[in-house]
Amino acid sequence: MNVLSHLQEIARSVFENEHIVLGRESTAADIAEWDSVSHISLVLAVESEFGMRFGTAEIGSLENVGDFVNLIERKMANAA
Amino acid sequence: MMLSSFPLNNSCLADTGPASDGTLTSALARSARLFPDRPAVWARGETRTFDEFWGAAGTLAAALIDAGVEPNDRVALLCSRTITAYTAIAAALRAATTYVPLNPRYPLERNRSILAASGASALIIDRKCAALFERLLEAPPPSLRVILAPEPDTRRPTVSTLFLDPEDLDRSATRRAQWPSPVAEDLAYLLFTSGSTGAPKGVPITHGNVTSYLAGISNVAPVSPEDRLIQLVDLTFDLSAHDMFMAWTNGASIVSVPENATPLAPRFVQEQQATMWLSVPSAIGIAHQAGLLGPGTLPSLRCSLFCGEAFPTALAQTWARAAPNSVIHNLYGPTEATIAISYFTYQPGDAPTVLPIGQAFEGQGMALFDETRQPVAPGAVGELCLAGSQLTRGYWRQPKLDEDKFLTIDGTRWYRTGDLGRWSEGDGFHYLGRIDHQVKIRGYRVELHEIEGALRAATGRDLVAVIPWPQAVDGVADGVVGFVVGEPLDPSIIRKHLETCLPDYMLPHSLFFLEALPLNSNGKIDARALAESPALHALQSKGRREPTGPA
Repeated sequence: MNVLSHLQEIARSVFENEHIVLGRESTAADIAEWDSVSHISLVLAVESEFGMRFGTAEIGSLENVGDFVNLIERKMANAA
Repeated sequence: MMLSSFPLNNSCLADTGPASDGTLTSALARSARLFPDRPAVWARGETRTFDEFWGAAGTLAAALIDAGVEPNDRVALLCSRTITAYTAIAAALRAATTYVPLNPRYPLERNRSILAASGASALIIDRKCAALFERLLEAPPPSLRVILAPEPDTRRPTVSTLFLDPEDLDRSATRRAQWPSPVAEDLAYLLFTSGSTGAPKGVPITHGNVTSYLAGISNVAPVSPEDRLIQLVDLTFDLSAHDMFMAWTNGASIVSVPENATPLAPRFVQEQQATMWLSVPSAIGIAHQAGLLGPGTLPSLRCSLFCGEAFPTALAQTWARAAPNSVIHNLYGPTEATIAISYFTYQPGDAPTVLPIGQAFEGQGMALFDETRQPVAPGAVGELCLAGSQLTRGYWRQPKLDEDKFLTIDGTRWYRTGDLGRWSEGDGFHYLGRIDHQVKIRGYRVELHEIEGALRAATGRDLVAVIPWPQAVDGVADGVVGFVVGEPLDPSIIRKHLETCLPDYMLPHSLFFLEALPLNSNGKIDARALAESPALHALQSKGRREPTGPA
């Protein structure tokens, strides 16, 4: 499974914008709909979709979408 | 005297500060002496005991002093909520200087403007903000003499620089024979809030102001060394001073939520077993909507404080279910009166739709005046005015503003809050919204004139207006929309311009281009007519997150 494209689908659904394109370097500043409130929705939607739970320190350390993808992949590997 | 007309505990304006020298510096030194091995701060996975924390603060303070920073100088901080930031704040106090927080989430121009207006002689930058350093100092203000930053920069001969990574200072401990001794009248911090002239205005707060506040809040919500106070606001918001100084003067610890994870704060409470909470009330609604506030989810909390906005009773009920072991207090107070000056304790079954703001802390004054500066009768609406030892000495280098906002009546100095209030038997004071052109957005106080000034600059048009939308209730709004007279311009270009000078909570979420602005009978822009425009209502029916565009 391509985590980045899956994350992009979740982001499109959460932010209600089918035109969002995420790259590994993307940040919240690049997406108009991505504010501190919708951020929580995205995190919770990712948890639900991937069946995992993030600690606040993990979320707090994310600098861009690439970091988020790495975190998801790491958790998937640990769960496997 | 109007105070006696209210049967409240505000009839005496005695200073209730601690018996020591009334400085935060002495109080922090005392905690370091009494609780050396207890944790003082947790941030981004790192912990410091009081001994480590105060020691590192001493090293950083010594570096500042050795570099020529003098008592009562301002020390600006461009830091996230990191160990470095907290150490720098303690160091500024230990060096008898005043800390001035900048905000990495603010636009560059706003930080530059605060840095220049503060007249800071030193600037401390943490590793997380190092990338902002170059652009912030493209034109360093003349007052700036010392920079402590992770990356040396030798291209700035105008700044007599000390390039020393504040995060590496513990490797080169400096011992001093003598430390400067601040007094209660010295400034502890200088915060900048939204200003009506288009530039942020500075509010200087003394050690005595803060220790008076700590004495007052301690009667309501005392802290013990076992407590863990969650910190979830930026250092530019004065609620952060409550968390830090209530913890550090009582031997307790702050646990700081990483900025990116702030909306997940209830989960952070669970992870850290935090015992005390302080936020704006709207944080409850956000967390509840996300499903993070189920019944009994926050059992570790024993005290929850809310401040900065009107506090709907329904949100208090939600919180009470999630944190069943916690008392809930609604605090009220502007930055000018040091964090908060009154409180109301929530009781299950409270009937009002919005919690009252209650009564002033012991020793502080709160009253309602009419437009002729006469006290209003109990039950009548008036402007909330504040007095006592928590009041700022006046705005930073703005004497004309002082004349407008501070009154002396019968020998007592009052601060006019610009808030409307009413008093009732039993509940005390009620907050009823704003008098002037100010609204609260996400807990931040916003002058609409400041946004209008930025919109004029961005569009090159003189005729603009900004209103809260959806409409403000009790002075609180989710956001603002802007109106510009003339042919439509590209909203994305305007937005990019605005983003360079306004923080995100002040950005209009939609722009409308009109042939003219509606005026009322006094010739003033009719904000009510703007709020009733069909285009706005169409926007509301489609949802607030529509892309901006001409109407």
